Amino acid sequence: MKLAFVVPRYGTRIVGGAETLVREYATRLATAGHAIEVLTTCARDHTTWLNHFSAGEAWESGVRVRRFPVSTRRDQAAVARIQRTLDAGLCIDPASERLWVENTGASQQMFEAIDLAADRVDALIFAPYLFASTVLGAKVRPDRSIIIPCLHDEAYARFAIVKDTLRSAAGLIFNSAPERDLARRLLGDIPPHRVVGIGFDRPERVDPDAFRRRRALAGDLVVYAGRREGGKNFPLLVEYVALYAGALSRSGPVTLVTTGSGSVDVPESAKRLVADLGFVSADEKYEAIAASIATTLLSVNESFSYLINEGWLCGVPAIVHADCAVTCNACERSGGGLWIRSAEEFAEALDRLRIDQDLRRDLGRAGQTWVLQHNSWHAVLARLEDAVRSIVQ
Amino acid sequence: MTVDAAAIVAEIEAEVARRRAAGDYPLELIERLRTDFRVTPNDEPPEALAVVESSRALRSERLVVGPAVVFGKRVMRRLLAWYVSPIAEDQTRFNLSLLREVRAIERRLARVETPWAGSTASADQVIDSDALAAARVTAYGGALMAAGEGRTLVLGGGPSLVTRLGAEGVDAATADEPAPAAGPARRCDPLSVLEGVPAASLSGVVIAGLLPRLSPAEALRVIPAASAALRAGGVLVVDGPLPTGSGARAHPAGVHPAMRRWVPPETVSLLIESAGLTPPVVSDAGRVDGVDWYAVVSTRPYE
Repeated sequence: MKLAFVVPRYGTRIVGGAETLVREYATRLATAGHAIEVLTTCARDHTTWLNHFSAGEAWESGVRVRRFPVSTRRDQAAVARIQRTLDAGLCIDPASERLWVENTGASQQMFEAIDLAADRVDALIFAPYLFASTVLGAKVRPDRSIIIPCLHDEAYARFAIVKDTLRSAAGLIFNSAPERDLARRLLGDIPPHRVVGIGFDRPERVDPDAFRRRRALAGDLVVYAGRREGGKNFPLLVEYVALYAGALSRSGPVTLVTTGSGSVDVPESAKRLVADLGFVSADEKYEAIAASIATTLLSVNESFSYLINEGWLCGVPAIVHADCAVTCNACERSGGGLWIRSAEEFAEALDRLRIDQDLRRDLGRAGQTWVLQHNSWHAVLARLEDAVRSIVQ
Repeated sequence: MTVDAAAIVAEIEAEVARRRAAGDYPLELIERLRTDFRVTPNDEPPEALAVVESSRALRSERLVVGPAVVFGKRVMRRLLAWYVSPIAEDQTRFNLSLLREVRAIERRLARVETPWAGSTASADQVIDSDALAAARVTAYGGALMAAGEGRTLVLGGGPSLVTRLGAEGVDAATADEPAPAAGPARRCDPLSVLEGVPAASLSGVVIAGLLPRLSPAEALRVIPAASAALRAGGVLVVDGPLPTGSGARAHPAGVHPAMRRWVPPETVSLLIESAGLTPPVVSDAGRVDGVDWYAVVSTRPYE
């Protein structure tokens, strides 16, 4: 097949679930013999949308990558004003929705390239739903557009402009069944769709002890890897860990090992409990996970979680938020994790995992079995190819 | 390997509940850290007006000195920005919080005041099925017979329920409008019917599957109205889908599109007790189309 992926940002050092997903899809499909190109912007930072990479064409891991400059200079004041209204739990008018979307890395040249590419590829595949590359880009040739929305239950998903784009696409590909159910709730009737998911490879060699020595970390650890920001409930996780150490633990404190992007603004009193490793290699991330009691993800806006699946690959159970249908469902179906909705439940779950090694091992193994059965790359790519073929036909 | 994570989570929840009840947790500290996870509702958007800008576009209509005037205003604004901007931000925060509260009140009011709504004939056919009518008659036909002579008013349940109760010897009548040429009868508004019935004139009232379709305000009025319509010794029956049955739907609209909320038998019992009827008896009213139904039966006491 000839496929063109359209993403707002692309590159090995780009942090973000959807961006990583597309990079994996593109690289692995290219390795499997498909002709894959990626249309993306020159931006690296999704908060500034400044052109960081050079415009033009490059080959990265067998994928033809074409970068276009962001043409709409981000109006930070307007975005802040709109964001303030959204944060207050209120809605915005259609003009503000469009303004917000246009300030998420819109590239006129990329839209023109999408139009030209549409007739020479079997399908244009857009991800994720939130940015101009998808909301405006998939409207250029909706008949050729498949969207991998990576949908979250959040204010942006209720934008009329977003719903319109999703409804008019040729097809949708979801990462999980709860994400598909969310789309049905938000959109009513949805275009032809499939649930594909994300694949994982078993890490080849993981040495948690070497990680501990290298990073001088002792005692029990829990790990969070990803974007360290409010939208992922990272501050709540820090609060729970601090509260656990200060008042709720029956087994003493744990250290929160955290990797990924975003600033870690930890209160002075909790600094000793948080080990911020910043951006680390995939190998070291797996080592950090394998050295931990549990992966911890309290985000309630997930369409899929890399972290908990990577934890399961290492036989490490997960603690997730009960209000996140996707992660909660994954834990329940796999038997690989526990879900909580308060600081006390977080503490109780963590205490159990620390005290009861059999429980920890059983949960971790159940998760590992599940991820190897359902989310091996072989199975996922077969589902993806089948989904694209069925939609474009 | 299978692990019942849900069972472990249930154990954790129970342990936390036990420890909370025992006062094991420093409540003051935990309350301070509570985080509210809220899904943004789909409201109308006059909200954008709530945002107060500390600066607006500067312009002048004067031909010659216009640019100088605009420049002067811009300088003045820059000089005052340290004072004006924080005030504008404070005002915006206040406006937004006020709007949020107004929206919350609007939603609560809508829930309380939603008036009775009709429904499509095809939807009514689902919950007025003959199978459900048969189960209903088995559950409470005997209680209605025991009430003795007199008319029993059947609200909801459809013609099949009336026919089957009649076959059991109950003098049953419905207030539903007669069936048109095609399709079943049009469902009556139970509250307006009951409030129009003469006091102490009925030996039985059956409110079949209607309570989940009423607003809370209507639900609070309908049981006293039924009680007033009953003579002493008359029987009141209220039935509805069980929210916790094995085949329970995620939302009552899955049982019938006009059902807005679950009304569990415990709530019905409380409403009946507060209306001055005898202590209610809750029973199983059968299982139809994967949904369990309950019936609550009570009697108007003799003075």
